[in-house]
Order: sequence, then C-alpha cells, then structure tokens
Amino acid sequence: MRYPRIMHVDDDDDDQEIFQTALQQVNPSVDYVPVNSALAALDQLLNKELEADLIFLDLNMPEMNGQQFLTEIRKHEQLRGIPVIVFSTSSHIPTIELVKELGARDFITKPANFKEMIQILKSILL
Amino acid sequence: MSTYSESSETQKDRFAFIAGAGEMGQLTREFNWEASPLGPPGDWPLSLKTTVGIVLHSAFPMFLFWGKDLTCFYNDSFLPSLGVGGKHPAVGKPGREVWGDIWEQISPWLTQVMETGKPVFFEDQLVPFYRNGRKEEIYWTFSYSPAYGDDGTINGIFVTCFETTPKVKSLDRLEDASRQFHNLVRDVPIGIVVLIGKEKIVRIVNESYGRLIDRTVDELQDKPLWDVIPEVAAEFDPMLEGVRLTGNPVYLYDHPYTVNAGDKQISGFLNVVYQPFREADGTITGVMALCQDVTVQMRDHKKVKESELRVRSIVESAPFPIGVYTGREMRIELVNRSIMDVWGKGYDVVGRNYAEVLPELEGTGIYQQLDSVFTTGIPIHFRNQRVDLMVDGQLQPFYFNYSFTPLYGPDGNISGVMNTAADVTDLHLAKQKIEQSEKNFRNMVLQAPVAMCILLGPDHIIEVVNSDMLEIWGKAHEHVIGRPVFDALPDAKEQGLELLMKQVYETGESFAATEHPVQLFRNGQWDTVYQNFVYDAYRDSDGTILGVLAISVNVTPQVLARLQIEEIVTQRTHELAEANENLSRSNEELAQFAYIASHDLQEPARKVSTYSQMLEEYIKPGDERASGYLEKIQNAADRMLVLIRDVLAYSQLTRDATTVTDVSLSKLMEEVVGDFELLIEQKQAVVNCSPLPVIRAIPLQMSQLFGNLVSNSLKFSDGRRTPVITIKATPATPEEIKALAVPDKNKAYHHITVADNGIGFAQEYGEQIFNIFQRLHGKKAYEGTGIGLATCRKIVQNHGGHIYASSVKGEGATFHILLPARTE
Repeated sequence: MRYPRIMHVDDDDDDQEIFQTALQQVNPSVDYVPVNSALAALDQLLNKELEADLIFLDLNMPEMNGQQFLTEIRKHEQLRGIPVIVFSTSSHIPTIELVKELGARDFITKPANFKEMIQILKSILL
Repeated sequence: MSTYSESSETQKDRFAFIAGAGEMGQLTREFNWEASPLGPPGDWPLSLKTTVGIVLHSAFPMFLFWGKDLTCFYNDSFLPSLGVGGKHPAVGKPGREVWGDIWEQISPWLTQVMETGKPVFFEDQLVPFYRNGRKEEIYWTFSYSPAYGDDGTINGIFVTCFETTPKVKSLDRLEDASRQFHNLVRDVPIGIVVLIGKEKIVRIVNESYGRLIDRTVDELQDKPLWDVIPEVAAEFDPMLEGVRLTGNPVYLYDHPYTVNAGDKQISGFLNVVYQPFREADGTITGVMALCQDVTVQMRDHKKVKESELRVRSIVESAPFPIGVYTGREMRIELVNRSIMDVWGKGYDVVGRNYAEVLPELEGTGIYQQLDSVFTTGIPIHFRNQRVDLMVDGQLQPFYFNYSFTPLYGPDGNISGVMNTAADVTDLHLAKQKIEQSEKNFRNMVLQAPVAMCILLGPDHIIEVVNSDMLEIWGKAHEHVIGRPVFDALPDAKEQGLELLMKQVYETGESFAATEHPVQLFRNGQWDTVYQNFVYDAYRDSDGTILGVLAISVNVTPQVLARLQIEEIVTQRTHELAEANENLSRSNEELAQFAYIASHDLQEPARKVSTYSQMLEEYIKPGDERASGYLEKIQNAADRMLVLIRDVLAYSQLTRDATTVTDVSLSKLMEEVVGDFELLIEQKQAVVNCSPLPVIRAIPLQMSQLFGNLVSNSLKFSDGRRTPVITIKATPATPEEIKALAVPDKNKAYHHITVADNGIGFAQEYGEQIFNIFQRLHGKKAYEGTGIGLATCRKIVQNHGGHIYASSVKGEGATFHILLPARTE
C-alpha cells in the first residue's frame, strides 16, 4: 500500500463524506484522516497528533487557506516530504501554477460526479 | 592909256597875248578887269602883257603877282597845286586875299624879292595851304623872281614852282623809318643781327642778340660773326648762305643752340627767322636774323606740353564724360570717349561749337548755363537733370549729374569751360522704378486682404499699416502712423514680440508663428488675440534690411472655437473615461460576481450530482421509477454544472492585455484538431486547414474560439455525408472592411473562414445564433448550452475583430472571422 494514511484537509463536511465513500470503495484498508481546518492540520501534524502519507488539500478554507498551508508545510523538514495533492473546485490556471510552485504534487479539480471521484482515487492509489 | 574906243579887232588884238591857254586863258579873258585896279588888259603895260602871256602859255606851273595889290595870275599847269574847293579861281584877285592862309609865311619872301630884286629859290620847302577842303602839308621846290614893268621897276613877282610833296614825304618817311628801325632794333626784345656778305659781317646788332650769346654790341659790331662764335658756324652758316643767295627766308622753331662764352657754355632754344637783307636798290647783300629766345618758354612749354598731355590723357581715359570748351562760343577743344558716347558723336566734334554739335539743347537753358559760367566764373553743378539728346535720330531722355567749371588761361582770364558729367540715367530710371515699386508695394500693403504693416528701423517705426492690421490692434491710423510700434501699442510690450522683431531685423531670418496669443488692450478692455503671423525682413533692392514686414491673420475666432471644442472634448473624454471606468468597474464587478456566483453555484450542483450518484447504490434493483427519477436528477445536475461552467468561462473572457502575444493560428489549429481527434475519428471527418496567419491574440481565447467553431461544425454535421471542415484565411479587402462592422475601418484585417458541410441554418437566424443561450434546436437534438457562439463573439470582440455567419439550411455553414492583422 502506497499511502496507508491519507489526510483530507477540507472545511466542507459533504466533500469529506463523498471522498470517504469513494475511498472506501477503492481501498477500504486506507486510513482516512479528515481535518476541517488547515491550521488544525498543521498543528496536529507538527505535534505528531496526526500522521499522513498523502494529503488531499482544499484551497478555499477560512483562517488558513490551502496556499498558506502549503507554504507552512514546506517550512518544516519533517512535513516537507509529505506529498500534497490540491483538491479544489477551482480551475483557475494561475492558481494551479501557483500551488505547483508551492510544492503541491498535483492539482485535481473536484469532480462533478461520483464515478469520476472513483476514477481519480483509483489512479492515484493503485 | 589910249583914250579912243577899242575896235573889235583891236580888242582881239588886245587879247591876243591871252588867246587860247586853256581854262586859265579863258578865265583870264573873261575876268572883269575894269573893276580891278589893273584896269582893262588893253591898258596894261607891255611887260605885264608879256609876262601874263608867258605864264598862261607855259607848260610849267607858273604864278604871277602884279601890282601893288599883287593881283594873281596863273596857268593851267598850276591848277593841280591849287586843288579843288580851295583857292581856284583866283585870277585877278589880290594876292593877299588868295594866299591869306600862308601870307605870313610867303609875304616876307615876296617883300624881299620886291625890294631887293634878288630871286629866292626854295627846295622841298613846306608851304602848307588850304586845298581840297583842308589844310594840306605841301612841299614845294619854287622860286620867286622879280617881274619888271615897262619902266624898269619891279612891278610884280614871277613864281615858278612844283610840288615835291611826295618825294619829301618819302624822304621823310625813309628817315623816320630808318630812325624807327634803329630804335626798334635797339629796343626790341628779339635778338636782331644783320650780317652782310659771305663773311657775315655784323652791320646791325642789338643788345638782345648780344645777350643770347653773352656778348656786348661792341664785341659784335662790324665783326665777322663766325669769329665771335665759330662753334656754331658749321650748323648755321649753310642756312644763312642759303638765304643770302636764294632770297628765301628760313624759319626755325624751338631750335636748340649752344655757344661758348668765356669759360662757360650757354644753351637755349630759339625761334629764328632768317630773311634776306636788301639794300635800297633791292639787292640782297646779307641776311637779317631775328632770334627769339624761347628757352624759358620751351621749358615752360615743355612743362605745359607735358602737363597738357597729362591732362589730355587723364581726360581721355576718365570713365566719365569730360568736355573742354574754349571761348564764349564754346568751341569744343577736348573731349573724351565717354562724352562722345553720351552725345553719340565722334572726334569730328573737336573744333566745332557746342551749340552746333548739340542743337537739340536749344531752349533747355544749357547754352545759357555755359555762358554764365564763362562770364561769371561761378561754377554750376546739377544733379539728376533730365537732358534729351539726339541719339540715332531720336530724342532720348537721359539723366545726368553734371558740372560746368570755368577754365582760366595763362593770362588769368576765363578761357573756357570744363564740363564733367556722370550718366545717372540708369540710376535714375532704376530709382524711379524702385520708387514706383515701393509705391506699388505700399499700395499693395494698404489694399491687402490680410493685416499687414511695414516697420522701419531698429525702433520699428510704423511706416505703412493697413486697415486690417489696425483692426487687430484696435487703434486709429493717425494714432499709430510714424511712431515706434511699441510706443503706439504699449499693451503689446513684454510679450516676447520685441525680441522676435529685433532678431528678424538683425539677422534677416523670418519668424512665423501660428495661433500666437497676444494680449491687447482694445476698445477699453483686455483681449487675447490669436494670430497666425509672419515677421519678414523688409529689404531694399540691395538686400539691405530696412525694417520688418509683418503679416498677420487674426485667427482668434477659430482658436476660441477650437479651444471650446477641445474643452468639450476633454470634458466628454473625461466623462467617457469615467463612464468607461464605471463600465469596466461594473464589468469587473459583474465578472467577479459571475465568477463567484458560478463558482459558488458549482458547489451545490456538484454535490447534487455526486450524491445522486451515490444514491444509485441504494436504489432497489427493479425500482424503475426510483431509477428514473434519479437519472433525471443526475441529468439536471449535469446540465446545471455545464451551464455554470460555461457561464463561468464566459464571464472570465477578459481583455487582459498582458496575455496578448503572437499566436500562430496554424499551430493553434493543429492543437485544436488534436483536441478533437477522438470526435473527428468517430465522425470520420476531414479537416482541411490552409496556412493561417500569425496574429496578436490571447492564445487561450483563440483556442476557445476555434475550438467552439470546430466543435459546432462536428456537432452539426450531416449524418448522410462525410463532414468536411475547411479553414482558410485571406487578407480582408478594402471593400469588405468598408462593408463589414469592423471596429476600426482604418486597420488591416485577416478574413478567416471556418466552413462545414453540415446541416446549416436559415440565414435569417444568422445574427441570433450569436446571442447568449440562443439555441436553434431543442436540447434533446443537439446538446449544448447555446453559449458557444456567444463566447466566440465575445472573444472576437475582445480582439477588435468581427464575426458573422452565412449559411444555407441543409448545405452547411460558414463562419467568417475578421481579426486585426499585426502591425509591423
């Protein structure tokens, strides 16, 4: 298993539910770690409350947004290595370019249907 | 005395002694002797008769005094001596009465003869008496002899005489002449020497001659000349001999000579005349030499000649007319080429009189002027005088500066007039022309339809100004004319014009200005006057700058109007800019709103779609209704998402200039075709793409544009035939640009066509299809939100172009895109 623990940073509960449901279908063995706030995620990663092998990161979040989270993560050696996939509704090219520059491994637009969600996870995890 | 009466024969006999004897005989016979003391001739004593008879009949002039009255008798021969209008006839008259005028002179002689009986004889005696109407000096050779009567006593005086006046006078004259001659010779300032014979013995010589050779008269008198001055014998003797022998005189002029005098030499120049010297009988015995010392004159003459030559040469070569006229008659003595050219005459005028040579000057006062200078010695000078001269048979006008100045002869008197002149005809005519042209120019200025003025001198004095200019200045003519311009217009000072005028005046370079504002105080208020004006250097015919010529057009109305318009335009532009800003702001806001709205709308749409899919699992198999409902939900959700996405994309179509770059449409088409590879293959469509230009564009939007069009062409293909999509590009023709609704008709455009052979559409919908959300077909027949073409139009508009469509229903559609060509 490549990514035993997958963290999902997203302030939208519904999106987290969809993600989890899809993930369940793709690989039930994966540990799904949902966090509602980037700030909390950062904190918890830093104090080792939480651990992740792969982070799915939403961008539009209050307090700390995805771009800020990416920036923060890079500052910490122990966190820098965790691959981050930005998972957002945006399709704005400058945004995509920016997050890549900020160190995100990939950018995926939140799919409009469930089937697509399955496909995306399959391609990443398998 | 006889007492008896005479018979005629006796009478005859009695007068026989005075028969004949010419005139005097007759007069004597006819005289009334009865009345005289002598009585009748018959009574005369024989001696008387005899003597009278002798007298009357003698051919020699004789005269007889008889009796105490000395009664006169004379003969014809004596008549000449009496002359006419004098004493004749004197026969029978008493002597004293006849010879009253000389009685004092002859009476003593008569008395002497009467008393002594001794005859008297006079030779060449001057006895002047009244004759021929006047007292004449008459010389006589005569004798008075006693005439005896019958009784042997002296009764009378017998006179024989003849005139020797001519001889005496000659002798006298000769004596006088001789004396005069000697005096002359002695006193004359000419050297005279008479040389006799071959030996040239000096018979007569004067001091003047002596001075010539520094000898005294004594040294020369009676000496052979060549003994005294042998050194010149060789030269002169032959000439003298020639004169002496031939009698032909010789003349020498300005002849040089040199003689020795003691230990010095005397040289000089002589005018000499050698004449043959004749004695009284006419024989030439020698030569008389008259020598005039012209040494001084020679030298003077030489000087004079030289100076004369110099004068002549100066006169001749002078480039202006000179004439010298002598005498009151103004005889032309000297002329030069210049004056002859003026008169149109030749050297033949020399020696002729001025009036004769230039008769055309009669009545012009010039003859009188010459005369007055000759008379008064006061010179006359004239300038620019018109003188009409006859040239080539025609009177032509000339203009001269001329002078008449008096010339003085060596004697100090005015001998003539010198005339100098300068032909200023050309100058005069040129001046006239200039004056005329100046006048014309002034008139032109005054009548010009633009404001003009001429300012002279460094103070820019207003010389000429026309009414248009006065209007601009707002001043009256009399107020400004003749005054320096900045005195007349103090309100124009200190606005930079002084310096401009100064520069033009000093450098000659023109200055031109357009819409130049000048503040002027006119009609009681300050006006700003805008003028297009030129300051030119005003020059005379030599090119010398005299002043400044100002030409001006009052453009104040235009300028004000323009300023007003500009203000309005500025205002409008400002308003427009504001409006634009507002518009763009609102557009931006709108875009932003659209973005946010669509973005936010996406989320619930997405969730509906996703959850409805997740719900699928929970539908009981076989529950068709539930399945169906769910499908409808999903479809709707899908459509919602697409719509939102398209709206989002449409709203994001900005004209963001930073993303404009050179886009190769050919390359872009390749990519688009690549994007649709799957669909093209599926429909077995053929895409023919000709070379497309490179344009300045936003690459993404171009992709969207052509992508949409290709997508449409593929979507609306006719299933019965192979879809063929043809893409071409040509430069738009001027007619097309003119006809089509391109934003800027002045630009160049590319005309790109995307044509298909699909189902087409009715042309009446050609405009509508570009409307947003416009669909020509139901959504079941052809999918699509209807935004595609609206997007295309927005993109084309963003790029300053134009898009339109042409189609025939059932035959396909062609989309025409005009995009601006790149400006190199």
